[in-house]
Amino acid sequence: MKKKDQLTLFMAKELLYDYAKGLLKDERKQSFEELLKESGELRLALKSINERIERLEEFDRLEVSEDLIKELSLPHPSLAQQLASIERRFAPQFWRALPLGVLVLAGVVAISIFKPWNYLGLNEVEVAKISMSDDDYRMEAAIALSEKDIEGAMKAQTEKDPEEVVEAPSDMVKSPDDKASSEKEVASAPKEKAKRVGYIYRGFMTVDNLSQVTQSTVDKIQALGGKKAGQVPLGWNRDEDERYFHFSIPEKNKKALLDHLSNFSQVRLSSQEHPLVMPEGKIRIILVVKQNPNVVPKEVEATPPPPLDPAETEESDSSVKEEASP
Amino acid sequence: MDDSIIRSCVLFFLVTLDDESRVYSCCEAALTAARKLQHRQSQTRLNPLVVKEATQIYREAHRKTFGARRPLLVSNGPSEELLKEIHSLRDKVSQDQFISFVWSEIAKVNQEDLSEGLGLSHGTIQYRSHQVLRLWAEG
Repeated sequence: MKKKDQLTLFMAKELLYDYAKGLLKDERKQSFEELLKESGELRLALKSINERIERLEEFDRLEVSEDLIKELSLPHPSLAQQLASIERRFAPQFWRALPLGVLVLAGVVAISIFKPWNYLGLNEVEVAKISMSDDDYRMEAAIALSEKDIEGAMKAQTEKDPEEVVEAPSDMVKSPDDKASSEKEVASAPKEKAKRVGYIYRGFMTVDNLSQVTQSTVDKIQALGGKKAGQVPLGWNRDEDERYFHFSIPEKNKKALLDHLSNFSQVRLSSQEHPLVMPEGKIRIILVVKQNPNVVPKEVEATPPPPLDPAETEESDSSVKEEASP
Repeated sequence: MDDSIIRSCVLFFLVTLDDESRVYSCCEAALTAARKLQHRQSQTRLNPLVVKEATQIYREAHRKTFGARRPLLVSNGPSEELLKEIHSLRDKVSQDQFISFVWSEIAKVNQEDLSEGLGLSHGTIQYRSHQVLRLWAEG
């Protein structure tokens, strides 16, 4: 045997198990036994391994009872296996969640049966009673309704019966609570011949200095007892070169306002039938003031108009026109 | 079903588990799972699947109780002293080494079934068993 094929003690120790189990081939076994004769340490290690292997034979004597083998070897029916598997997987979660589920279900049923909010005494409480005249209500409604709402209602009425002049029912403004629903009520107004016809005045003018006229007009309207109507403020920047005034004013002050406006430019004011009847002695005006494009104003306003839409619509379909002399 | 694999399975859990009353339920769980797997995979040999499932139960769920505890109906079992030694050995070696050792040296499962069930080569199983045995012999 060549020297390089000879076993070292280290290698022999690694082969102890194979030798003890009889797994070594003849040539290797021979060289292992040669080394075993020489090395006492290896003999001791082998002895120790063999002792352990012998001790493990204790387990070979174990006898499992026939009953146990029979029980374990019985094939489970397929369904029983599936059920056992499902139960093993889901049963703990199911039993854990069951009390909570029953509790929630009982709660829902109890609430739906007893309706506890009925016993809480959540009744409406009247905080204050404010008496308002019909004119006040009408005025409130006029202010609350935007131009778009009114135009829409008007169109709906004329489409239904273009021949009839329709007036919004007076009871649509019976109480302040009805303000929100007034839009619908206007749209569904009964077809009755109008005893009183409402009017809205529309005006247009072109001026040389828009910002100056705007401020002056706002002040004048307020001085004459005018109040903002619709949703946008007086003198709203509808466009860079356009201002919008939607307001109500005592009818007696109409002339004073026109006189004031005529100082700046010629004013065209036309009246138009409208389903909303204003209170006695009050009128509603929509005035549009534009910058004259041929004149450059002294102060150019750089602020863009806010993204509001007053829903001012076309004015071309006015039925009655009244020219106001400046 | 081959009785020897049931016996091997009982031995495997008897050595690996601390509580003897759980051996039956773990064996039952392993055998049931192996049968199910055999049916699903249309395999003809059950023994490797029993090795695989029993090992899985020992590795991952040996602390869970599969069914009721019941006394193990065996006789001529190993001495308590030997079981204690094996249990102390379990704490000294890696889990993989111990599993190979128990299946190979104690449960005496066929090398082929063992190799297939554990997904290891014969050499690896023998080497691991040797390591445990040597460590035990060295004390």
